[in-house]
Amino acid sequence: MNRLHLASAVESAGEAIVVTDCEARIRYVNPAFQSLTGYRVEEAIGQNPRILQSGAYDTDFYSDMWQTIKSGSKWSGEVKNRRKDGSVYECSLTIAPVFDGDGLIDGFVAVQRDITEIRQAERVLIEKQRELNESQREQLEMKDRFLSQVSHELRTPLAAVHQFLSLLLDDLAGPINSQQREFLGIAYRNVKQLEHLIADLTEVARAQSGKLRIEPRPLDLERAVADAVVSFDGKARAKEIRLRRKVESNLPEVMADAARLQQILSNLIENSIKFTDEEGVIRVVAGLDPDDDSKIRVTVSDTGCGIEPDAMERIFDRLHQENVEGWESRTGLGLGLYITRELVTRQGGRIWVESKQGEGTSFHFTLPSFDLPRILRPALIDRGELRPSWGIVRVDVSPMDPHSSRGASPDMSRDIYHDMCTTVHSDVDVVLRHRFCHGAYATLYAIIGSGPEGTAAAASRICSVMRRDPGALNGTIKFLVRWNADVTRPEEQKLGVDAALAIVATRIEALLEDEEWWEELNHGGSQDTHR
Amino acid sequence: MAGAKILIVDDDRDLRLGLNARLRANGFETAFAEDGMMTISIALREKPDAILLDLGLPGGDGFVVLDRLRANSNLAHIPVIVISARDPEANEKRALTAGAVGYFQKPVDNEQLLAMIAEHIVQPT
Repeated sequence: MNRLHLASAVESAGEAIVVTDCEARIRYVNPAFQSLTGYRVEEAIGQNPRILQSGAYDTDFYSDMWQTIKSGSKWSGEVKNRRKDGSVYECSLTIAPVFDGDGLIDGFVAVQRDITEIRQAERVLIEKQRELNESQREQLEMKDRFLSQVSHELRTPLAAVHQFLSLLLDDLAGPINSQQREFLGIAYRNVKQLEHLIADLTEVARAQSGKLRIEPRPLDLERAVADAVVSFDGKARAKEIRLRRKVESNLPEVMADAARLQQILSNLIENSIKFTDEEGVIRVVAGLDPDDDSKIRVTVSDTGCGIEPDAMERIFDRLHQENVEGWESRTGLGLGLYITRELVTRQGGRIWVESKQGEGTSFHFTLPSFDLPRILRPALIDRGELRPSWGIVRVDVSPMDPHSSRGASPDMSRDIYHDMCTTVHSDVDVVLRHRFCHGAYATLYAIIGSGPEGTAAAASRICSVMRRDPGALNGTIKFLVRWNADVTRPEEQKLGVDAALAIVATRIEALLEDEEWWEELNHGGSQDTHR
Repeated sequence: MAGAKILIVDDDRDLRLGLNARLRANGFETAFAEDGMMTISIALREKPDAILLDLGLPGGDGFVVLDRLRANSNLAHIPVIVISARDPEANEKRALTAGAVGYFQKPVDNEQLLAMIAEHIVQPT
């Protein structure tokens, strides 16, 4: 390519091209420069390119640019420049030094591409996206309110039907014959089904608006599985289905919301019962997840009709219904497995299905196991470093009258747990464990990272929760507080955060179990609160 | 517990009738209120042993009624059980904090309701 060709190419380029000498005096501009900036060629020649400055940048910006190109490097970026008529345009700008035959800087060449329209379009797009998000949010909220209103309006007449059917079935309006009983029973069963549907609808609305309340805490899986299985004994027996359970021994506690875990297990067991023939077998098996030992895996398998391969992919979708010939045709709204998946994934697990037609189906789900260091992290790690000190609070709740069954109630414990987690210095304190040992007796531990004032806040919070629930507790609350009792040792600090946290976690675990350690506190330093 | 009086507060006549039949069959006496305004005066007149309170009431939301019951020294001791079609997720805690002893979502499980009434009614000595 000869010089003539090259010059012609520069002349016809779409980008505005400026060539200056090494003192930044403009020596050449192409026609595109004139169209972009409004400066005619003869107006531009001899000027400094700073005639284009829009005032959007400070002097440092330009001196940095100048230093870069003077040192022989290329500068590129996006800048706002000003046209001759004062209007501002946005351009992508590249300035490169031009070297002479001796390798010295002979001048600079700047190429500007007008991006005003692109940026403008981007801004419009961003604004549109924001409006779209806003309107989606509004629609979701409207749907939420609508569903909640519908659920409310449906429940009221349903409550009347439910009440009067049960009055008739309980012979409270006089004796009924066996056929009447059978027919009323069918009506009653259908009312219960409607109740479930309404509950599912509400749950889906919550899931979609991110309002599903999930409060994970360490749980004994053996007990959770037993509770779920026992509650389906009657249903299984009615179909002569054997319902079996097996939980691996020495399994760590699972970190999950107790009520949500029951919901997951119930949905899966109920589903299995629905699709399993008489005299079939349903097994609920739990153990460590072979693929990830920080998780626990639960499998609910049946000897039922199985699922068609095509349907397997859609089985967790909203409104998916499994239509199996010869099986209950009315299987609800198809929300159960969708809700189940939401409940599993929002607790940090996953769920999947394996099935062979005619042989049976296995639903597997995983949930995180109780991992002490992970739970302690928010309380004990501050800006990437292990806190030098921390405290433990132990709360013992016992009934005033040791023979009474009325002391701590599960509701109250849930409240305390929830309140402590959400309102008491939630960024630095964690409720570690909360369990009910013997009916009305309760023990709860909290790790306090927020300093002694955090302990006081935690204590006062627990008291206020208990006081405002007069039916729940008729007894004594005892606080055992150990502050700074066990500072993190300097040599542990050196190990790195994760290793040190693991050591501290092990020590805390041991302290929780160490009755003698707590007993020492019993003789001083504890705070009793009697009601 | 026999002869204890329960005040049923609900604006829906059918629900009042249904609960009435259920409670009378279990040996309770009953009284009724159908709006929020009337509840306090009826409670003062009837001196019930427990109150079953709906939340969506004309003439004063159930929470307002609950506050007024708690603020009245002649009524503050009466256990209040909320029975509402409203979502417990959003309302149960609030009702318990305001002084109710229990919360049931409609349709109510009769056995659980009767058990809760029995638990909270103070036996006359």
